Amino acid sequence: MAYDPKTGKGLGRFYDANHRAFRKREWRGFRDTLYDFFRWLCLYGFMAVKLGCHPILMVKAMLRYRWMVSYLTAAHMVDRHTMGLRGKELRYAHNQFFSVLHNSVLGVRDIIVRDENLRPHSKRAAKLRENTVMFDEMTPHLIMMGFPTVKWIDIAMFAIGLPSEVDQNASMYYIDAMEHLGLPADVCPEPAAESGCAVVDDYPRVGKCYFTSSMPCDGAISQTNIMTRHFKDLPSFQITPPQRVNEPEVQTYAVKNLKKGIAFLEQQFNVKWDWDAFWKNAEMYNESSRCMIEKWDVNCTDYPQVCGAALALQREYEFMAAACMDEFMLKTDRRVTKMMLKGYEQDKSADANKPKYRCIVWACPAHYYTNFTYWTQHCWGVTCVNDMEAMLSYQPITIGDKDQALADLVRCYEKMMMRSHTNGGYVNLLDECWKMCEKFNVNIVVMYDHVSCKNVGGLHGLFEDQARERGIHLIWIPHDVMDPRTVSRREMREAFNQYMITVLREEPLDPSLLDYEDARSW
Amino acid sequence: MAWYWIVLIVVAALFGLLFLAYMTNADMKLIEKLYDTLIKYHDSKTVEEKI
Repeated sequence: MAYDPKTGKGLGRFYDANHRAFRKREWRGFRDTLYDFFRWLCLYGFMAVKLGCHPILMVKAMLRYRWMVSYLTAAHMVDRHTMGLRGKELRYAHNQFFSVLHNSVLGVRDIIVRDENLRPHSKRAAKLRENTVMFDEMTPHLIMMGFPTVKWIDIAMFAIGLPSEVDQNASMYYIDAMEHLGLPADVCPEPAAESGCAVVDDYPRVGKCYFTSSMPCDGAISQTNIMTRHFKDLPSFQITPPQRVNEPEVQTYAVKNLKKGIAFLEQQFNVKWDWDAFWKNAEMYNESSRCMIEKWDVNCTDYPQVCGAALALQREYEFMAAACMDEFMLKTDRRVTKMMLKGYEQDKSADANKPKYRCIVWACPAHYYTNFTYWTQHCWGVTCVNDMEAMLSYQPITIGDKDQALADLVRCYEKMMMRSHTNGGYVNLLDECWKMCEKFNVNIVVMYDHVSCKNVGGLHGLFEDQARERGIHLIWIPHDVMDPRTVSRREMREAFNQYMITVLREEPLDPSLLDYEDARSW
Repeated sequence: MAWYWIVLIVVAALFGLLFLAYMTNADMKLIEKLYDTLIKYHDSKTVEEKI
């Protein structure tokens, strides 16, 4: 507990309304501060080793791409999520976040060394581009499991997705660029920002073709159109997983579509789908999914371990950005699983304190406030035991049976981020929520009310009625995904505060976190 | 003074400085200045908006 009732000092004192950076870092006791310091050194050391050897390219990238500037704030992102954490929880969070940043730093390096905008005359960069496929953010890269010699880079994730989670100010410029061209302001900021990035020509050109998907919602479908038009000089392929993902009849079509995608890549890079590599990578996917399920199982008990954004963001990036093919992420999974099981046994035998309240997070979260559930934990004692964004594909890929393996791979595409719960009928979003409440033994749902999302907005009334019937506290937290000008972080906190004070009659655990200004912060 | 004392003093001083930078959040305060400068630079650029 970071709040000291004697002095009245809490975590809120680190925020400065006039500055983006925190006033100072937190003293967490000798061991934890030293651990945090060691992690801080590791992060900067890793960035220096991997990016420091390209100083000119890094400067050029900072000056060429606005989104690249947001990556400077990586250490602040870690601080935002680890603030107030102690002991094993601090260690889980650092391990989980470092694996995400490890993958991202390598991704940034891969972008700058092959980008045509930064190195238009470099033969080496051109050669690298010849062997690289560019992906869209909402298209998992699992298809690359069978192409071990071809490199892939998710340009939208690096230009929009990740910066918007690192820095709350990152996407506003791109949203405005798209709205200048007539896009209504009530469109989801995610496709708007990704389209805006194309409009101002801020995407790196790092590959010889572009691989995208039909996207999980209508706003994102339009974004695909704009992106493919932006890359009109490059061959592109759009994978189109079916909408009715629960129907067995659509799976034959989905497999055919996947095979077309494989044929497209084979033709572009003049290589053949490699089954041996596929089996090896599928094993990695299966193992990482097993680790994920173990984390869920432990969080179902009275002693949840890896909670909040440390659970959700890591899985999101492991599945969507790294396609479960990142050795370092898998090593982290193994390490954290081991630590978590040990931590669980310790807590159980010591009959340690249980969370005051348990919650799950449902619906699309605010990219600009990924540490919201840490705030609920520190301010109100509401611990997030699972997050819809972490509930991505976890069913194993059958090893050895080629037809079944492709059907399983298709299933992974259908159970990707967003599509998993917003496509295929209301059962995946509405009924699934109550199932998860029961499984994780929670009676609070932090229900993200994405003000521009038409998919989830249509079920608003049903959620309220059914939550009331089940006696579940549904706390609606409005937000606008990537645009904090519509609903600020402070307003999100206020919505939660109101519920806790007026309905649950609670007192904050840390009053300094009740209300503070962080509009300027990253 | 023996060479290992010099190495030890340099390492200790470096550790102390880094720890001071860490505790005072000096790294992020410096990055804040750099960030604002770079964003100002990007704001000043003339960018053609086209689909």
